[in-house]
Amino acid sequence: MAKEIVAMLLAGGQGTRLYDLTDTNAKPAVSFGGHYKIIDFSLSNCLHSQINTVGILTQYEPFELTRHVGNGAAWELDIQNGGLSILSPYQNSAQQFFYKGTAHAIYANMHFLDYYHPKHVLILSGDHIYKMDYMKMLVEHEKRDADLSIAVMDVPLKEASRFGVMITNDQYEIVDFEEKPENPKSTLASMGIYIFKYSSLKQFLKSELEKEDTNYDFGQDIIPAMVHANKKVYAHVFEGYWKDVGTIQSLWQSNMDLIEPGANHLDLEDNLWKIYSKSVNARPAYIGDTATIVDSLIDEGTSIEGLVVKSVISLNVTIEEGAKVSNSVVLPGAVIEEDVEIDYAIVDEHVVVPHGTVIKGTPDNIQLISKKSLGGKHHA
Amino acid sequence: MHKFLLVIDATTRSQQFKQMNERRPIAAIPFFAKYKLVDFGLSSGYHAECDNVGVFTKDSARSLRDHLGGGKFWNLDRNRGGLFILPSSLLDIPYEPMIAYQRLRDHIELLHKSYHHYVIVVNGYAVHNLDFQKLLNIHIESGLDLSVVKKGQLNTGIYISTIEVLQKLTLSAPKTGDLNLADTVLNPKEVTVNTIQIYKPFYLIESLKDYYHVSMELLNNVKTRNEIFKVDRPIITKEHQTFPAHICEHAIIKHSIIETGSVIHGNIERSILFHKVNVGEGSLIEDSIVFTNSRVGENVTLKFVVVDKDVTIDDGVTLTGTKTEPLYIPKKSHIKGNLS
Repeated sequence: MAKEIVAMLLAGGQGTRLYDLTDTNAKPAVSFGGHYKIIDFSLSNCLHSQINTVGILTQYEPFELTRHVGNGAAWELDIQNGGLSILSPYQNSAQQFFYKGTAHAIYANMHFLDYYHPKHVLILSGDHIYKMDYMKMLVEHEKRDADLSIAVMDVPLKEASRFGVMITNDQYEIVDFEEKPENPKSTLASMGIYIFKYSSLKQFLKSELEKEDTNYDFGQDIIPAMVHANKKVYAHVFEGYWKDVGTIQSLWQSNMDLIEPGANHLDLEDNLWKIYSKSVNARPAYIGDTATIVDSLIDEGTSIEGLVVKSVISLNVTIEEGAKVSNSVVLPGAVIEEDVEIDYAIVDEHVVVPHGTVIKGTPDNIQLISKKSLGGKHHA
Repeated sequence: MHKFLLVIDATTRSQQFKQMNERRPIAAIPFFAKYKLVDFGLSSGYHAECDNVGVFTKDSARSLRDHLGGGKFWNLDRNRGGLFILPSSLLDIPYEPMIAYQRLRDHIELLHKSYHHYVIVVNGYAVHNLDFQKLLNIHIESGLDLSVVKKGQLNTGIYISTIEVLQKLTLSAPKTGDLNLADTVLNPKEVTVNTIQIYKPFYLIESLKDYYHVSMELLNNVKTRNEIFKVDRPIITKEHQTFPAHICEHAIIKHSIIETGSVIHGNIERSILFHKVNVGEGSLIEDSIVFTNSRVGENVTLKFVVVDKDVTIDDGVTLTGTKTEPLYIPKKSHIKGNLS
C-alpha cells in the first residue's frame, strides 16, 4: 500500500478577490482558457508526473468542483490502489474539523496520509495555471535528502514584493524568508508548491498546530518553524509559465496570454503535455454568416454571429448578430445578445448580457460582468 | 420506463463510398465534425437508459472498437449487461445487406443472456435523434409481434420486438428461408407485423453522395440541425482531449462548423472541419468537409471536396469537385498537385 508520493491539492479557499465568479463556486472550479477549469492544470500535471494518488481538500462551495472532478477518470485517477479522494471537512467524536488554514487541512487528514504511508507529500494549490513536472522536483528533493522543498520562480526584483521570497545560500538551501517584503533581499518567489518528507511534515504539523498562537498556515507557521529548527529546507527553481489567477486582473491576463503568447508561454497545443478536462458532450461550434472572428479561441458548443476580436469564447457561449466582443473572456454558457459591445471584460458563466448593453473596461481595469452587476437577469 | 436490449448492426459495407468505406465499416465513418455514424443509434439508446448493447461487426472492426472502447461514454461499462462487441464469423449466404439471422444465431447467447424483455435492432448508418422509449411504447400498445419503423416509404432499419420473438425468428430462419428482418417484414410467416411512422428528421447514409448531401443539409438548415444536435439531448461520442479552436489573425470563417484542436489561418466558407485541422494562410475552403488531423497548407483552394483523416495538402494546390460529385481524398494521402 505504501506510496512514494501522495499529492494533496488545496481547493477549499473562497477566492474572495474573484468576487462574483466565486459567489457559488470554488476558485479551482472557475473556467479557464475556454475549455478548462483552473484545477485541470494541477491534476493534468499530476498525471504527467506519474502521481496516481491525489487528495482534493474541499470546503468552500464544493458542488461544482466535485461534480467536475467526478471519480478522476479524466486524469486516470479512477484506479484501485490510490486514485482520487475528495477530503471534505468532517467531525469525529472528539472535535469538528472545519479547515482553519492550509496546514490545518492537511493535519485534519493525517489518517488519509497514514493509510497510503508515503515517503513524501506534495502540497499543491488548485488555483495556479502552469505545466510542471513534479517528478523532477521530487528527484532533486530526494537527492538533497531534504525535509522540505519549495518550488520557486526567479521573478523581476520589482515584482518580488508581491510574493513570499526565499533567501538561500549558493546551494539553494533556504536560510531565511520574507513574506511580501517592501525591499526584497532575493528574487526567488515561492509558488506555494511544497514537497515534504512525510515524517518531517507530521512532526511539525503536530508541534506547530498545537501552539496557542498558531495561524494553521504553511507560510506563517510550518515553514518558519522548519527553517528555524535548521531542518533541510531547499528551493527548487522552476522555469516556465506560472500564474496565480487569484484576481480578476490576473485571470484575464492569463487567458490573454493564450492568444498573445510571450517568450515564456503556456502551450496548450503541446501534444506531449495535454491538459485534460471532464467530457461535456457539447456540439461542435457553429460560425454563422454574419460572424467575424479575429485572433481568438473558440470552444465547443458555441454559436457565433457577431464580431469577436482577441477574446476567449468558452463552451456553449452564444454571440448574436451585431454584438462586438473584444479583448474579453466569455465564460461557459453566457449569451451576448444583439448589438452588445464588450471590451476588456470577463463575462461570468450563464450570464445573459441584454440587447444593446455597452460595457468597456481598460487593460488596467477589467470589468466583471455578472448576474449581480447586470441586476439579476439569469439564463436558465 | 421499459428496459430493452439494443442490437446495433455495424456489419454493413457498401461500394458507394469510394475508399472512405475501405478500411472501416460505415458505422465507423466520421460525421459532422466530431461524431461517428454509430453514435446516433448509441445515443438514442443512452437517452432511453439502455444498459445492454450488442454491436455486430464484420471484417476489420478496428476503428469501431477503438471508438467504442469499453462503452464508458454511453454509460455501458457496467457489471451487469453493458457493451458486447460481437466478432464476425463466416456465413454461407450469398450477400448480407443487413444483419443476417445466421449471424444473430452465431451469437444467440446475447439474446439468451439479456435480462430484458424487449429488443430494438438498428443499423449503424442512420442519422437521427429518435426517442427509443417512445417507439417501444408504440410497439407495445400495438399488441403485435414485430414493429418496423418507417419514415414515409423509407424503411429506417429499426425493428422492435420482444427478445423471445427475435429468438424465434432467428432459430426458424433456415425453415422459413428469411435471410433477415427485412425479409420477414416483407412477407411475415410466423409473426404479426406493425408499422410505426416517424416524422422527425431521419437520414440513411448509404453513399458518399448521401454523406455529403446530409452533412450540408445539417450545416444549412438550422432547424434540422437543432433537432438532431439537441442541447438537452446531445449525441454522445468518444471524447477528444484538445484545446479550443484557435482562429488566427487573418482567418475568415463564415457559415461553417469547426471543432476543438484546430488552428485556422485561412478562409472557411460553408464547410465542416473536424478537430485538429490546420489551415494555412491564404487558403480558401468552400463547400467542403475536412476530417481530423488533416493539414491544409498555404494558398490551397478546396471546393466541393471531402478530405479524409491524416491528409496533407501541399501549398498552392487546388482541388475541386462538384456539388453532385464531391471529390474524395483518401485517408493519409499526401496531395502535391491539383486534382478535380
